[in-house]
Amino acid sequence: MSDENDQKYTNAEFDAMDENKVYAIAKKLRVPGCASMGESELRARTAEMLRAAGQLPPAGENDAAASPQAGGQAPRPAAPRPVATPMATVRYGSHNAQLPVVGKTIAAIRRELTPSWNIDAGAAVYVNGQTPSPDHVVATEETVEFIRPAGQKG
Amino acid sequence: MKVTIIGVGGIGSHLSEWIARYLASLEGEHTLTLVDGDHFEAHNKSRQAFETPGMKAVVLSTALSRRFPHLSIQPMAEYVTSQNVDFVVVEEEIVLLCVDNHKTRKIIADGMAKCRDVTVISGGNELTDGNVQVCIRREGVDLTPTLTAHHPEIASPADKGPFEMGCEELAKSGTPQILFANLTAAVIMGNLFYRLTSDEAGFLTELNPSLGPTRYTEVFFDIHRNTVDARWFTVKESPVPTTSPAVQE
Repeated sequence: MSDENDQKYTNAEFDAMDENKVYAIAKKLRVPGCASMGESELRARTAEMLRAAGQLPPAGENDAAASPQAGGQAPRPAAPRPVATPMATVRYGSHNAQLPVVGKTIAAIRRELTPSWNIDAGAAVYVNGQTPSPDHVVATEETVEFIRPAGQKG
Repeated sequence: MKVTIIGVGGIGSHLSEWIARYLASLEGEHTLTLVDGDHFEAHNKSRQAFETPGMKAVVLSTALSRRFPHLSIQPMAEYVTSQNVDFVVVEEEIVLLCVDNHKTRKIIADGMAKCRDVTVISGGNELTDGNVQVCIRREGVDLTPTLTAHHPEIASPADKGPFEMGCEELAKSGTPQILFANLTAAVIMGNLFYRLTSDEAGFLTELNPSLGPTRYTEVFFDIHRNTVDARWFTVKESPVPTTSPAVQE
C-alpha cells in the first residue's frame, strides 16, 4: 500500500495538479496558513515543503527518474490548467495579500493601496527583496514589499 | 544568561515582569538589568505596570527583586546615550529594547556593531500598530539585518532622545498610546526571547520540513485588524535608497 505522505512527484505532475489536490497535500504537510493562501502562494509553499522532504525535485530539474511512473511509460499528459488572474504578493506592515497587480508599476500600486493600507509616503519598496528599478512593472508571483517604518513609541 | 531591558515604560514595564518570572523558572544563574532614566508618574498608570511613583528602573527592580529573590535584578536609572552605551550593550547579552524614540534605537544599533556576540530584540508601536525587530550578531557577523538596515527612520532619526530634552519638553513629548498596542509588542518580544533562548539554531533554519519556513527578522502587528505577520528580510546592509519614493518609482 502506498503511503501518501511519502508520495514523490515530478515537477510536471505537481504543476498539473488542480488547486484542491495541492491544498490536500499542503494540509497533510501542515503548510502554515495554507487555508488562507492564494493559489500561487499555496503552490509555492507546498512545493518548498515537498522539496525539503525530498518528494519533489528542484525546480526546473529533469525529474523523470523521480516519477513513480518512470520506467518506460509515457508521461501522463498535463491536465489543462484553469485560466486565473495573474497575481502578485503585496505586503505592508501586517498587510500581506495576493492581489491582481501584475503589469502595474510600483507607483501605481502605492497609489491604489495607500487609501486602504495607509502606506507611509516615505516607505521604501523592495521587489523580491531587491530595490526595483524606477520603471519596474510587477510580474506574476513577484513579491512587492513596502517597508512599514518602525513603531516609534513604547 | 544576561538580559537587559532598556526602557521600562509602556512596553518594558510589562515585559520586565514576564522576563523576570521566566528567568526565575530556569535553572542556573541569570541577571536582569533594567535601564531607564525616566520616572513613573500617576498619569502613567493607564498603560504602565508599577505600584509606586519614582525612578522607573529602581521602582521595578525593587518590586521584582521582592517577588523573585533568587534572580539578580539590577537597576540602571539613566537614559542610554552614546557615552554610556558601551556599558549597556555588552558581549553575550540579550537586549530587549523598549524605548520610545528612534534616536536611542540608533545609539543601540551603533553599540551593537562594536560587539562580537549580542542579540537585540526591539519593539515599538504607534497608536494601533507597530513592529518588533530581531538582530543577532555572532562572531562579529550580523546573522540578521541590523536595526537600521531596512529602516532609514532609525538610521537617520529625526526625533530627539530623552537625554536631549528638558523637563518641559519631555512632558510635552508624550503622544497618545493604547495599552493593548504596548502589550502586543511586549508579547511578540517575549515570544522571540523564548524562541531564541530555547533554540537559536532552529530559529535561524530557513525551512523546517515539518513546520515550513520558521525564521523571521521582523514582525508587524495591528491591533485594530488583530493581525500579526512575520517577515524575513535580507541581511545585506541598507539597500534602502536615499532618494524619495517619487523619484525611486
